[in-house]
Amino acid sequence: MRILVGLGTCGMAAGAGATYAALQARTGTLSGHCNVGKTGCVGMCFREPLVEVREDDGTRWQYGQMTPERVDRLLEEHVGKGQPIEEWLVWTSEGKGREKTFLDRQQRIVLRNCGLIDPERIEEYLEVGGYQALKRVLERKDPDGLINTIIESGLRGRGGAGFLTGMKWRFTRLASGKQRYVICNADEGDPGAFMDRSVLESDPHSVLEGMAIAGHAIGATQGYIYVRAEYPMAVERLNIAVAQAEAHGLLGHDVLGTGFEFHVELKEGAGAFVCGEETALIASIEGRRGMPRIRPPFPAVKGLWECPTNINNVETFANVPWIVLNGALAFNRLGTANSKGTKVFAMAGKIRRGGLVEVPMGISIRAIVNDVCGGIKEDRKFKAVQMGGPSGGCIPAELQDTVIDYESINKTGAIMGSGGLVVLDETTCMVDVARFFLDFTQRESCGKCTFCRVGTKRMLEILVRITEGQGREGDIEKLENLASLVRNNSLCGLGQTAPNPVLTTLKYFRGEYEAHISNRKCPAHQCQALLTYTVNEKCNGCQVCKRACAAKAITGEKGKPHVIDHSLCVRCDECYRACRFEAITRM
Amino acid sequence: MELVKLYIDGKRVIADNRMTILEVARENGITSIPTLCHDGRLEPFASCYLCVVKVRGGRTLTPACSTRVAAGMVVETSNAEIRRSRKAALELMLSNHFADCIGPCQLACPAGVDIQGYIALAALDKYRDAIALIKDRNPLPAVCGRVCTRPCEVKGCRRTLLDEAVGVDYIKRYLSDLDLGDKNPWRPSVAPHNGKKVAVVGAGPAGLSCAYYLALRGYKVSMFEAQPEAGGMLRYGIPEYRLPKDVLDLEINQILDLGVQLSTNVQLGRDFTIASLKQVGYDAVFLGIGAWDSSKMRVADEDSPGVLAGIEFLRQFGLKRRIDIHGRVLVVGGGNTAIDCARTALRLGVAEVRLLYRRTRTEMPANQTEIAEAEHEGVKMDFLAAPVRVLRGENGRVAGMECIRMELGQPDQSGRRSPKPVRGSEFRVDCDFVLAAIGQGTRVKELVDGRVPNFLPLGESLSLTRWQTVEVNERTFETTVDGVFSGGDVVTGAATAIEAIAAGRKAAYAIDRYVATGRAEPEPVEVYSRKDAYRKVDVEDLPPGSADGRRGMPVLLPAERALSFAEVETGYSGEDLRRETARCLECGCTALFTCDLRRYATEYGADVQTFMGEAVEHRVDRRHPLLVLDPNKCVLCGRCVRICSELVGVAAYGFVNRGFDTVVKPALGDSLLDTECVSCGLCIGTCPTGAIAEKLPLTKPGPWKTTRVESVCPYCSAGCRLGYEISGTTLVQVSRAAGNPGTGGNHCKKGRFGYGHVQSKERLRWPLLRVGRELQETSLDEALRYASMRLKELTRRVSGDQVAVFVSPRLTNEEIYLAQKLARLALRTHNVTSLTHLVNRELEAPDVVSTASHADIADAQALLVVNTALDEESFAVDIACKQAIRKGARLVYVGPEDNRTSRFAELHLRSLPGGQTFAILGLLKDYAALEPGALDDRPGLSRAVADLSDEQLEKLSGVPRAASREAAAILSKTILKVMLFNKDYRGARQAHDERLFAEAAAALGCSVLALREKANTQGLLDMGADPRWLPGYVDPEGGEALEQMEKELGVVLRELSPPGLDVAQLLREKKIKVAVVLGEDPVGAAGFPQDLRDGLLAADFLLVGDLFLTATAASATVALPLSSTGETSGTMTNAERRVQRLQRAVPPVGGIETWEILSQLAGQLGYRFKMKYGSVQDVTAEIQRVVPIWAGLDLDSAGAVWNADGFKLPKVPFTGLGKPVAPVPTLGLDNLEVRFGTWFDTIFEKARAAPPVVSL
Repeated sequence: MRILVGLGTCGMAAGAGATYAALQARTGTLSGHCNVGKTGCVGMCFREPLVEVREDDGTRWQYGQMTPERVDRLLEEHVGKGQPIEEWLVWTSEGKGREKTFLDRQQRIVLRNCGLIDPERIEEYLEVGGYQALKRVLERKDPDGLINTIIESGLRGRGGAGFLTGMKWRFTRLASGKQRYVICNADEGDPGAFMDRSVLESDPHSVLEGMAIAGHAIGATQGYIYVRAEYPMAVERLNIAVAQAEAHGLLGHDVLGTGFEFHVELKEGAGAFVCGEETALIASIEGRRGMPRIRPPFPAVKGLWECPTNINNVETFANVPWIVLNGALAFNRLGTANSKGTKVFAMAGKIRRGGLVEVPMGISIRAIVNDVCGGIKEDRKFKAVQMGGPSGGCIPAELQDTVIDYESINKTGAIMGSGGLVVLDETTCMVDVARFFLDFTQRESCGKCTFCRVGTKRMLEILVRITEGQGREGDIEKLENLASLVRNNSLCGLGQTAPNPVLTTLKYFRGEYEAHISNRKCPAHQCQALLTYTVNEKCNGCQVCKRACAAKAITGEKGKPHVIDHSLCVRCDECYRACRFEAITRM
Repeated sequence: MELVKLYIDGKRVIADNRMTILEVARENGITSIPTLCHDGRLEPFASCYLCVVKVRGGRTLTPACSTRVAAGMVVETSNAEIRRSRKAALELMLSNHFADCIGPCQLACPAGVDIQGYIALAALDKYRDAIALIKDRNPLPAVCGRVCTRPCEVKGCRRTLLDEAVGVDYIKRYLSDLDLGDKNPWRPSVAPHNGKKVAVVGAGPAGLSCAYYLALRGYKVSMFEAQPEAGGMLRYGIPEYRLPKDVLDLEINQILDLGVQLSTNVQLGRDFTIASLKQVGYDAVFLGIGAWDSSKMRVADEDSPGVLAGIEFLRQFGLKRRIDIHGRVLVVGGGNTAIDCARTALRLGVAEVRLLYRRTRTEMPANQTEIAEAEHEGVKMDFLAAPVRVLRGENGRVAGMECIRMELGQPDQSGRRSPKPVRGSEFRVDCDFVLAAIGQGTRVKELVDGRVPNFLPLGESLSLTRWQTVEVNERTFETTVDGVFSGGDVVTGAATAIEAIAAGRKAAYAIDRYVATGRAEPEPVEVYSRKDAYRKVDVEDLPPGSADGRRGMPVLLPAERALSFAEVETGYSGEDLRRETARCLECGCTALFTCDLRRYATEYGADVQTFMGEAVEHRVDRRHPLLVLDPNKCVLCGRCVRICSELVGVAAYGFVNRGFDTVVKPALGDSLLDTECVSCGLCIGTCPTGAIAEKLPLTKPGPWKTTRVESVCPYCSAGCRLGYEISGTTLVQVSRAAGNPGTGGNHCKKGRFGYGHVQSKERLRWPLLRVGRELQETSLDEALRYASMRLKELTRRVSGDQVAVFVSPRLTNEEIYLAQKLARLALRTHNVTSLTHLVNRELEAPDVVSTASHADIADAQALLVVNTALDEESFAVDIACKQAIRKGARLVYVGPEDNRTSRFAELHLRSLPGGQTFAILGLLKDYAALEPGALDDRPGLSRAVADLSDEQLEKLSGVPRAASREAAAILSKTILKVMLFNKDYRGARQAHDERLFAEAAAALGCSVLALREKANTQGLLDMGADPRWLPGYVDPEGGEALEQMEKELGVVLRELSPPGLDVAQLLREKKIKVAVVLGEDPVGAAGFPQDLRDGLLAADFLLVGDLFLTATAASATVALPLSSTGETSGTMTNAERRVQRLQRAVPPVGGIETWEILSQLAGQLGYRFKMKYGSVQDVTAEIQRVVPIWAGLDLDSAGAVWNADGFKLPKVPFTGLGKPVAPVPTLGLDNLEVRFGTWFDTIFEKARAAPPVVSL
């Protein structure tokens, strides 16, 4: 029997370190057949810290919110007496647990080892079939066949744009150059997205293996992982993984004795969002300022140091070994006509179960929100999902039957993106959502193209003034005009997609913009400057709000209904929060 | 590469598919695609998004600068969508451009006079240029200098934030008075008569201005004036003491002098009509008949005797009619007319003048100075008082005025607080006369209401506004009658002279368009960025400037004014002018006339307000002594960043921050002084705005519109083309000139900034003649007369061997040619050479010349540089090498030292000092091993290589054999190869080595670029400045070439005693009795061999020509001022053997060009015909005719390389190795470099020592 603690960044943030320490401290007291181990993240962020009890027969018992205080009882009852603690169980391999649908509705290829193995021990990866795919392709020595397999699988780039991975490999292979490179883009930067981090932290070898396979396919001997410096744990585990793989002859001058040479080096990015754009990423690796350049030439033809370069995302690489081992068909069977396999999403926002989920392509947004993630918190009304991060857009609740598929998502105006999925409910102001994302992109613009640099700033200024109640007649038209100019006159994806949050919210929620501007009202009651606080009939004159009001805008005698003087009210929200009788109406 | 067919704007073109759409379009004559971030020398960048075009099938527009052409592409370069997108890009850039294009003064001036420009010219004593600049916008500056309401000062001048406005108007008056007082005042150039005629009705300021600008455009203009004399209100409305009528007459006469006809005492509607003008064939009519009707006070009994209209009073006075006015005078009104009435009345000797105004003093529309002067003179003012009714005396005449007190109410729509009567505050003012000056109206209604028969052509009608003024199109000044335009008071109602002048000029533009095209078009509206558009500018924003307060206008004492109409303001003195011009803060941008952003913004009609929002504000960095960085003006095109890293290889600039806050700054340093910046100034030349600007070494740096004259840099042998930017006769700055083959418009710091010598105050301006121990200034005639007399006398006495002429390798080919011709014809000697060259002659192999061009370097696959720090010795060639390397060329460096070039090299064969020759032999050996046959037919080389064992080679050269083999491998893999070395290199080398290099280069398959230190060393040799050969290397002792040359020149040269002893030897032996030194300073140059110097100074007669009074010139018998590059035309020959034309940009400081001095001297010596030329072009033509190597050179293109196939000097093949010799310095004998170096070092020392001055 083993006890495994989920020690990803998410788990650590929730206190898993203390739980692990408490368990370790107690292992001495345990009987010999039980040991405590580490694993990555299984994705149930909403129940961290997670502890799994794995029986010798392979049955798995997943406990949620395992704070150090719960350790004793777990050891005592489950480990000691073999009695699982039902009320803490979130999932079991036996089909039990309070959150079982979260994992059961998923289909895990990329996350196949996450939460299952110890990411710092290559042995565990090898045990679950790790590096078998690499071994197979090196034995076959048929790079063209390998590329065909990847093409036939239908795997598309998971970084966002969705270009056929196998085709990209083929272009790189066909390009002429002295040297070729494989780059893993691990510069995950979308606010709220953490798929790549989780894979790197929980299963780094799957990425290394995928890269080595790609290296063999295109004829590269050198790979780079461009990873955010803000992911220290991912960096550390990657470094460990690279060292272990080299030690095991799985990377290096002579991989598995086949004569194949492949090295992997880490490059830590300094936190510029735009460095996720491939030409900027290349510039950054070369030591230049991360600024995109025009394509063509594409990196497949002229990339790093002017040599043919294949760049794929973390998730794409993690898919590769599975496809090699299970065949193109197995992957191709999953999904829709043009979108195959699965997709990992980082679920955030107003849902009950937030975390990392991997679902087959073709599943509807409704199913993800309701079935996998347990629906909206506090039974509020589902309003929209924001997909694809700052480059993406909002899909309204009316379109929740849209299925996860590149083309279907694009039709809505959003994009698949790298997998950030924020669920919004009725209390979310859509103008504010657009402002939030645009604020991010305009800050992260590299500053090169006029429209992206200045245009997004001007758009943001308009959005800010709308949310501050200073919107003007004609602002919507100005926004639309600027949005189309920025989209059409930017060199890279950042600028081309920066207006998407604005355009999609304008498309589906134009009324909200108009209400802000014409009626000076925020329909979601979120924009502070547009709120009016009034006391309703539920007031019993308890005077709590009066005391809370620093602006002295509330008057009223004890026991009698109070009144708010709107000319004095500064909309600080203190009264609303202070009132225990819902007697303050915020409109 | 592949040729593809595509369509651009419907035109089928064929292009190389490696080219971009922009390049292909430009190559095919489509130059209208705008771009800010493109520079042909750099890789495509695509950031400004101005160059967008439509490619058929594309979802969006495409940036043309970075999209390669492809077969079948269909490109459209302009349509509504494209224009919209470009305009938006410009507007976005302008929305974050916290900067002023022009000073707010110019913006405030209705006529848009370039105030900052003329103040700057005035500060530089360029009075004529200043007047020309003013009259570009205002033909009546002397008038305006007296009567203008000065919106430039009152509303415009930023200096008001600090203390008081700059005395713009006083400066203008000073300048125009100076010009009017000149015997030969400035006169504009008038276009030839275009056969069209225009009638101008009304000769007031509007009409005069319109007539002036039409006359300049070649129109025949007739002015019709109802009054006895021209001038309108200027004459009849403004009193003499403010505007003396002789001043007005002078300025009017200047306009009439342009051919404008004036008829006076003819009145529209009485003597002629618009219809009649049209009938007699006027192509257009301008109506500028003013507003002559006085407004009524609208009080009871205002028609009583003694109540006069103010304007009529002034008119009567202007007509010199006797006016009966006496006693107490009450003036009603607060404008300039009221003040003029009051002061005029006072001067007519009345007992008392009292002025009544219904608001307070601060609201008075009259000039504040005028009000103050009136008070000084004794006018009493009653504010917040209005007339109610005229009180009649017993005789029915006015005896007083009932008035009422007023108080100011709420501000009205115009922002002024409107006065309201205070009930019950009536009071009485006794008076004998009332002058009502409360406003004026037009008299145009009576013309159009049908009382005048046939006033307009049939079917036309002239619309009036509800104020009874003429209705016009605001921008074109067209009335509702076809071909009739109108401006001035008749359109605006009573307004200012400057507004009328502006209207006249703008109408002239529209009239010209109307007559030429049938459609009136408005004067183009220039787009200007303004700081005030972003936020209120405050005192913190002002740049440092003079701390002086405003210089007041000197005036007559009040006592002197009494009963006199003498002009009250007496005008500035020169000192006043100097102090006042220094007060100008130069708010406008120095790049005003060169800024592409503004040019495009104007072209696309961009509105700076469209996307106005928050702007990022940066500090202006003035710490670098040569340039100013103003990031506020930066559009982030990155051209400076890329030029500096891609071309120069320095990377002094970088992008800092992200998003909207992105800014270009000195990379990794606070100031450029902290970076590796080499001060080449290429960033200035590439900056499309004023973000990087040259710090001009002038007290006021303009800006002015300059004309550009292209010439060639006088420094090194790269021969970079430069643009001399000229304003009037001032060389303002040097700019880059694109289109130089190979150097592509690049230049180094010397080329860009080293022009100070041209108009230096230290220049030798007059010939000097030795009288006893002293040199005395004399006239050129006298100097030449004396010199020729002495020369004649001495040359009769001494032999040709004892005469020598020395010329600088920095003179032009023409100058050198004439100098040698003078030597050989008039002085009968072959002793002509350069002292610089003389010192190094043993080391020089004149037969080794370049076989490669700069273009060959750009295309090269491999470059072999021998012992040359290219960035120091030939910056432009260094850049060409770096460009080649970026395209994949591989550079091998051979030489002992580490320098920027060796560091740039892929491989450095580090030889021992002096060992580079053996390094080359070693390389040759390895190369021959890889390329058998390389040494075939080269027995000398072959033997030398065979004689040296590997060990010996390694020992003698110091280069490891392995490294040598590696280099050989690089060379053997490549086809296009160039070997570069500097023939004037300071290191140990001699003629033998040079010949070996040349031979080895041939064996290695390299062409050769042999650099020189001086701009025209090659030309010096080509032009025969060597005793051993005549121009074109013609043998002086006989042969067909000599015969041909003698025939062409009509002289016999073979009679000259053949070149005898070496000139150096002659000097050492003090045998030279007569010496002519042109442009060299052996006496002042450190390191010049003492024995040679003594030999020169031992001459009986020493004639020296130079730009400066050098030590040599100071030792001369006669010293003559030479002309510098920029002051003369001609040609120079660079290291490629490319002969390029120089153009004279400014007149020579010494008044005469060098070639003329030589020609005149020869004339005095008896060669009046054989050395007489009409222009320097005649000399060039003679060289082309006479000198064989120049035959057929096309000098009117970008220059031409003379054909080395006709090179007659026998090539000496490599015969053996020379012995290493001690390094000998080459000398900068003409001291240009020394001067530059000293100046450069000094300004940098100062800049580094100065406390950081940073301001907005």
